[in-house]
Amino acid sequence: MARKILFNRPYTISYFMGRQKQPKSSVNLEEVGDKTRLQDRGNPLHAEASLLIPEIKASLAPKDVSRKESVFPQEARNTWDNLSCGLIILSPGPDHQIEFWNRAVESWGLTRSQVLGKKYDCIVPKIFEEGRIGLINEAIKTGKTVCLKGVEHNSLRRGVRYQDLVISRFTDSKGGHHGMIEVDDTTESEFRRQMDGFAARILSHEIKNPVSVIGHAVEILSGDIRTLEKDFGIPPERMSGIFGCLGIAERNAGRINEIINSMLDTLKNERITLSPKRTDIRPLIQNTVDFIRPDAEQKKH
Amino acid sequence: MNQESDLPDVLIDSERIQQAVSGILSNAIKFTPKRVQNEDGSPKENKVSVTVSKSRFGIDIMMSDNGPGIPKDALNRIFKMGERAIADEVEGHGIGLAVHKAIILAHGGKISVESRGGPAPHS
Repeated sequence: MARKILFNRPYTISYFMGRQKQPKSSVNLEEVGDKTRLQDRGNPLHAEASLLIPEIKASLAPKDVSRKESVFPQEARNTWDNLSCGLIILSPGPDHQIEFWNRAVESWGLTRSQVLGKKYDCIVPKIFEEGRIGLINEAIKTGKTVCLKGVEHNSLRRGVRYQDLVISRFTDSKGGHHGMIEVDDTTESEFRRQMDGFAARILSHEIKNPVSVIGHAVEILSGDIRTLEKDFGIPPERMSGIFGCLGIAERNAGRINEIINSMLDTLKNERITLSPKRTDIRPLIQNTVDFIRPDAEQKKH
Repeated sequence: MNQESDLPDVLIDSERIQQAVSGILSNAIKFTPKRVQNEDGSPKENKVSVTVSKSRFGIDIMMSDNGPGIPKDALNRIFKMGERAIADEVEGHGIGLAVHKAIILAHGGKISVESRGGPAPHS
């Protein structure tokens, strides 16, 4: 799904759905810490976009959000032509759409080579170290054009996929400053949905089910083994050791189950639900390390 | 393990943080081979360490190992769902770190990874 997102003053957000006119839910705004996050099917690009320009964050409110379906590029062209100042994020999609935007940018005083060409041959390694938000901010601040290319997704062996991100700053004929980000999140969002489905299947069928079976088996074994004490006269201290081991197995099966449930919950909701409390971190980390230590010790041998 | 003595209390979901920290530690253990070598080829003890310190906005938890490190071309994708740095050598589905990152981000935190060719710290 190609997606075009346009931010322009007075901070309206319009969606251009490209050739796919499927209905789309409205954008949700939520406060996360000191940030305003735009949640739209959990697309992280939106969250990043909301952080780009502080005044956008300050002015964003549900009433400011509008949604619009359009046949690209004609209506987008109208919006573009009327744009006075702002930040544009768009998913270029097919080459002819990229060409359109490049021509538009060119007409605004930005040379063609600053956008076209760099999209495919310029990689800024720093983007991976500082994160996209840092780089985007830097691009807006310095005005340099940067490009992210080649986020490779091949773990499913379904071929190589890419996310392209081109950022540039330019000044229009009226002296207005603009920042533009072109994002092709078509493959990214589609891939993410595929991966979420894949991960949920793996978790449910390949991990959760076997772990549940182990938990039940241990439970049954704990019941059965009590008869050994009577039938074979096994000493209580020996029985205590056996039950200790079974208890460890049962507790850890339960813990894995809980973790899997929370992961499935995360995949389903595309976000983490927290129950925060003021906590002394030291015992928590110590307990965690103690819990993991046997694995580390075992690895040494 | 090193922890500063005067760490402030933090507003966190303990279970989630424990899940993330134990997951990252398990990862470090999993990817650290039984035998590691110094640059001159001599054997050295494999080691996974945890350091907790105060930071400007809360606390930093740094976990490091002295394993072989992470390939540079994989550093940018190890926190993505379904991505794996070393796909064929160690079992896994590329899920854990993505979930751990989501947990840290949900807390308003930041997670990053560095690999310096030798040790491969995760923080």
